Amino acid sequence: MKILRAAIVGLLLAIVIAGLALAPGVISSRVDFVYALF
Amino acid sequence: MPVAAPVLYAASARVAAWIGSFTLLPCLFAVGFLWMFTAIVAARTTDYYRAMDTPPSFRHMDPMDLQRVLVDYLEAHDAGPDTVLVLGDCVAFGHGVTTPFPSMLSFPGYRVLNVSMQSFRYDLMLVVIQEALNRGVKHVIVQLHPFEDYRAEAAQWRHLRAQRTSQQDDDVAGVDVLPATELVADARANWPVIALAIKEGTDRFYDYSEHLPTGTLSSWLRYRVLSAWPLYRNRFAFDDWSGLKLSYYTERTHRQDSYVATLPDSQQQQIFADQAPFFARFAIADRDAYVDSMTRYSGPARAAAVLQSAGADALFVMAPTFVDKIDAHTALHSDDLAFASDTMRRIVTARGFAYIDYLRDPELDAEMVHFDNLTAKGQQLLGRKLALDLVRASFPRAAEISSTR
Repeated sequence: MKILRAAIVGLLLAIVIAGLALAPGVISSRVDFVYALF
Repeated sequence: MPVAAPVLYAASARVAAWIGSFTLLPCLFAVGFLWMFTAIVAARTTDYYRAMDTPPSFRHMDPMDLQRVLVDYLEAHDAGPDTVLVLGDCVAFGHGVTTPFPSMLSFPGYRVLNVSMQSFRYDLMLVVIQEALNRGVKHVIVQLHPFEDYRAEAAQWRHLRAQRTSQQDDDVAGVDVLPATELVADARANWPVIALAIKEGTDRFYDYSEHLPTGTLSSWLRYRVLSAWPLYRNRFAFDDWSGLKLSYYTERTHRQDSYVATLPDSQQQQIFADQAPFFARFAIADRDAYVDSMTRYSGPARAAAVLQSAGADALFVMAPTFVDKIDAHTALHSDDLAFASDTMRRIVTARGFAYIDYLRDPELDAEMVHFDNLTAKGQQLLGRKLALDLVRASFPRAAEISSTR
């Protein structure tokens, strides 16, 4: 159960990170939120 | 509300405890899943690029990723000894048209790979040329244009090199002295600086002493870290192949023939009037200084040097422009443009390469949309003319054809 929970949490974390990485390309090629962060 | 508060508190405490049992394991799983997502996105993007016979709108991706994306594109198309690589700007990319002129070229035993984009800066182009040469590409067509902001370009190149080599700007050597490896190393160092300046600035041409950025955490993170991650740099391709199709990149990549007619004279003249300072940059004040600057520091000169050093078979094509209109309505004269083309011809032919000039072709002049784009009909005309002229120029070299069979 602990491993399954860890896998689910890991999957969710990976989805969030991947979503953040892919999002700027989807939103617009002129707006990149990464620029806004730094 | 007072009732909901303790319930919410209890629920959030349980969630917090659950998340608080975070150990290494969820993070390892996350890394594993991210590795898998990255592999899927990279593979799918390779298929996406491979299916293209005209280049995607590289210009509308993040400039930070461009070097790696262009190399991804070369890899997806298996660029190698059986490839004729075409590099150029808006004209070769086919801005505003479905079928640019490189798509009309064909050579028995070769595939034509068009890796062009709007405003293709020569530093990045030189890096792409070197990457292609590293992959065994031997035949390259470079499309040129006569509009060189030669003073600013040379000054910028000298300034950047002077910074890296701790010299004075005036002491920096040029193409006549530096070996090809140095030129490529300079290009690799320069192109992110220039791309960053273009991205942040409002003007494509800038005063190098004002707009060159110093190294920032942001640029380091974007160029070195994020761009190296295929999932991140393929985000524009993802927008297209995933079906989301929301970005400007996707819109520009799905071509249509929007340049069908030339601009009305009144509109073109208004553009000339509005952009008078832009055209003034290209005026040749001193021809000797121009020849010296172009021979020693220009993009075409550097490209020709690197291609010659690698023993490549290259051909340079001068794109058309409506010379008479420019002469009539801007500070540029037609003999400036002719001299520019002639200078580039001499630079290129001195390296043993062929040069084909379409600058003053009346049929093509009549199909210009503004000074730097052709109508769909103009692209077809250029493709047909170039196909014939390439036969006459014996490109690709016959000796190379027999050696690859």
